[in-house]
Amino acid sequence: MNKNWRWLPAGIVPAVIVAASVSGTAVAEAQPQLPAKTAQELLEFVATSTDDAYSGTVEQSSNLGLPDVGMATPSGGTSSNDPTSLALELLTGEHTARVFVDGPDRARVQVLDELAQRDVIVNSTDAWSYDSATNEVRHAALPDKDAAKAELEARLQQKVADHPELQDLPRTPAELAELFLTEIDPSTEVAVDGTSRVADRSAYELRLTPEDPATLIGTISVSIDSETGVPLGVAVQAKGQEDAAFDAAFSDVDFSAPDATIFDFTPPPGATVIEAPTVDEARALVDGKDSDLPAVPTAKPTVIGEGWSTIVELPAGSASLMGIAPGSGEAGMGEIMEIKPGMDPEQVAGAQALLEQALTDVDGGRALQTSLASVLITDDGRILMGAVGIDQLVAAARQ
Amino acid sequence: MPAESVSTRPSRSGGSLGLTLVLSEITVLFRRLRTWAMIGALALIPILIAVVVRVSSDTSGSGRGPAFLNSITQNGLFVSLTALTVAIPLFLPLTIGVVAGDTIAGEANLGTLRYLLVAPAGRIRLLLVKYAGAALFCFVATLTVVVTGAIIGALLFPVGPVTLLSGDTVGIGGYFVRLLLLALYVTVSLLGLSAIGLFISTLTTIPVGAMAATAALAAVAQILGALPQLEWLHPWLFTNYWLGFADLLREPIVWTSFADNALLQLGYIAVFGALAYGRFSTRDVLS
Repeated sequence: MNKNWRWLPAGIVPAVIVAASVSGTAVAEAQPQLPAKTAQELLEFVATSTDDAYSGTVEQSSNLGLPDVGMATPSGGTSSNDPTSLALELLTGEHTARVFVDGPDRARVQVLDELAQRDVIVNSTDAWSYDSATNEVRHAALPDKDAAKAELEARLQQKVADHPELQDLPRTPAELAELFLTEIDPSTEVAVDGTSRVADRSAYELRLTPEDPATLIGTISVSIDSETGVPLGVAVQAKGQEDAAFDAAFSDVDFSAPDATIFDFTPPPGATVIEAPTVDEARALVDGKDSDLPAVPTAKPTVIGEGWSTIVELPAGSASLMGIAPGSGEAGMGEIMEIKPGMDPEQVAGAQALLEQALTDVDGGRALQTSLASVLITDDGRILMGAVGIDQLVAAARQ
Repeated sequence: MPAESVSTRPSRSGGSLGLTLVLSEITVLFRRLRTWAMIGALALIPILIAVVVRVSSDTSGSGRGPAFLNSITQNGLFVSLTALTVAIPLFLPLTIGVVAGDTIAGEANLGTLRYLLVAPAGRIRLLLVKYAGAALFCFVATLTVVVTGAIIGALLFPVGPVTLLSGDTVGIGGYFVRLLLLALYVTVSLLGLSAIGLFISTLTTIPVGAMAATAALAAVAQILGALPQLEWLHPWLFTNYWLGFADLLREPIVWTSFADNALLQLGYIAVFGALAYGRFSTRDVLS
């Protein structure tokens, strides 16, 4: 009695599933045929797309060669108020965000974390941010748009009167594209590099290749939707690295106007609301006059070099201002980050461990090397950074 | 209790036998003391959380502990969510493991399996009936956590409009619709594990072994899911979307995880259902 055929489904079902998943990815990788466009035409196309309304999901991943912060912080508690760790967190690992855009004025971005979410909402009158893990709302009232525009126009007129060479400022998308290309041309090769499929739509690939041998950046490719001109994805390739160092692209996108209520926001009951200073307050803060608020020490950064290998140098004292202790590794490791009130000691410990892993001792300071950029903290407290290797930073620091 | 198991089953065969079998299976399942003990234990999770939060005056919390824990003092309805977050990784898979692991092996162990298999075609039907019972238990277990949480939360804490993860608020009515969706999501999440349990249950006549193996597999899958080195494997793990239920608490709701989860669980049901059929229909039933 042969009953073995009864095992047949158990063999067929997995085979069907594997076949279905493989053919699914194969279809997605087919390259669409599109009418050829020059880089100039493509850039003009992008510049005309600012009034578009769309919504979609963006998948972002970074592969900068940094240790994953997600491993250092407790699960579910990835978000933090500290801007430094927030930036670090966004530069490592993967994120999914939903984006809603309605013209140039209204947008909402939702970063979808596990069991948590961070929102940024901008509408014509206000800018809000909300973090579900801390239940904190940040709010800034936006200046009246028409007044701001008029003021900007008036200043522009003033500038043009002072400097007549600015007379032929680019106004149209075509002029903007041309200016961009002439400005970028000597240092960068700009080319249309075929087509691709992003979020189930056909897209042009615009590729920027720095011609500077010193920079760490290999290529930057931007996927531009073939119908609307909206950029659908950005990938930054580092030299000598196979995977993209930074990659953000829509996984699905819908070019219909999002529901208007999405751009409304009312702080939920019980949330802590932090008001940002208004434009005038902020200006007073920067100027440090007519204000009870303490003046922010405005250390002017120095710019060394030009183009893709530009190095920015922050003067002595910047390191300690950011809570990073300069000095040799052996003595300072324990106190790299000072614990400020309101900071979760666990998170500080996590970030500290991360820094300890990432910083290496070099001649004259300590340095952080990622696949796209390097940061050097010198022993005298200066900070140098740029999209170049550490040795270039060390050389620049000596001058 | 072999006598009970046998007595509630119809011994005749007829057209509406399938439905009768399902009903009798459900009756047997929910007449068992063990089933009620597990449901009671699940109901204890939200009660324990709510009472502990109520008794301790320390409200700071500073963002640690399971998700939603810090929102409970402001709104009792969050007890359901905290309890679900706690129950999903361990307690729910454990109880599902017990129910699904017992399906075939339990009958074999009691010596009642051969009475259930009067005809060769009866084996498929028996598998389906057993699986339906386990699936229903998934839903009842999840609903127990959610409903108990809402009740105990309403008793001990103030109740009001609920703040979603996106910072928008919904009224209590809208929140209960979402809670029901949430219970459905978690039920669907557990269907793959139930299918695995059913298959393991056909391999042995020792129910405890099948139960332990099923619960252990759930733990293993979650450990593998936590290892970043195995990222290529993650979309294939049945536990991959278990904590994705939070996507129903966003505004607008993210449906992709619901759909992806359903598809994944369907795949597991198909594979392990086929394996269970292959094993069970070729096996010599001696007890």
